[in-house]
Amino acid sequence: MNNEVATFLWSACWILITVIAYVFAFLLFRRTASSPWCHPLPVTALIVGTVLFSSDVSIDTFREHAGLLHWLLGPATVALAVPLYKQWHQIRSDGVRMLVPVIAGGVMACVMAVAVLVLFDTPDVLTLSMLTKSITTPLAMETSELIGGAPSLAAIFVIITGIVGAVFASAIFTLINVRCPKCQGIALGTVAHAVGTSRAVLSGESASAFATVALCINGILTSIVLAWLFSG
Amino acid sequence: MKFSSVSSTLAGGVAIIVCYYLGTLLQPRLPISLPSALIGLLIMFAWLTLLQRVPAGVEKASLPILKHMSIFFVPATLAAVNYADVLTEHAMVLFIALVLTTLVSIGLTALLAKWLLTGGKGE
Repeated sequence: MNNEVATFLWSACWILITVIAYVFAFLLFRRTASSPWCHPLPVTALIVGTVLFSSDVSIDTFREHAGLLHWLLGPATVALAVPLYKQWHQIRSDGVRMLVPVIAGGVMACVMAVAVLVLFDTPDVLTLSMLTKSITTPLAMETSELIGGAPSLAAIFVIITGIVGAVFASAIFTLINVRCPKCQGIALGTVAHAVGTSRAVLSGESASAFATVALCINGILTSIVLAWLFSG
Repeated sequence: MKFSSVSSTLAGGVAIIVCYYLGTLLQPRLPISLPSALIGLLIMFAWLTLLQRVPAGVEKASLPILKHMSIFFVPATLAAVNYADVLTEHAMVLFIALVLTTLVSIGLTALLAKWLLTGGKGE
């Protein structure tokens, strides 16, 4: 009985620490006008990691205690149906035509990254975790687990991809002279998932609608295709 | 906040969790093993499509979860420390795979979208 109480208190304590770290990271993110460099995930992870390191608690112990946070990933993934449904109606006139660049972009991003790893003969766990790099983190983690990658590696690859995409997107669009907000949104949502989508908001409302739909569709299709390829 | 608003948000949250739970129930019964959360997402999408609208409670519950989703990744991200050796050993290759291919993919996807959606005019 005492043991259960202790476990509960430890869980509450670590979740509280994570929430406090996140609130700080989120305020910092807002302060920097949502600069992708200050994405709340790396900042929160850094703070919590420092607390763990200095209090000599192992990461596995922390993960056991913070299990509730991890569980909430599931419902958060399901909640993506809401923006998908709402934005799909706004962009329906371009709906089918936008599927082509989304699918092409999703395949390209994944195949090129994996080709680089295969070329340099990296361990399988890296290669398998790289397959989901362009899809939204919750789907990437679950898919990665199904196909034999490591969910934690998938998560950091996805976040780095998103940050890189969001930081350099404007420079690329200027370089190749793509000014239409729809096209920018599709590219950002497909390749740089949610981090890219929050950048697309800067290109206007239509860019962010297209980015949202692109991120949902690429996430869904990539998960299904990978699960199917690896289940046989 | 009014009580009715709180209760509808809670109901929306419950609806999201029910869809997720249905996804986990359905998952082992499908011929291919999809992520259970993805099945939940598709169930929710089908339900919204049948309703032809998003109930206010579902919308209010989904906004904060989606906006602050990053916090749910913290435990998993920290576990990447277990792979520190393999990550540092292949740092250069990973850098190329993550940075270069992401930039090229964004550029090519944008060009393809421009060509298909605007006939190449770009406006």
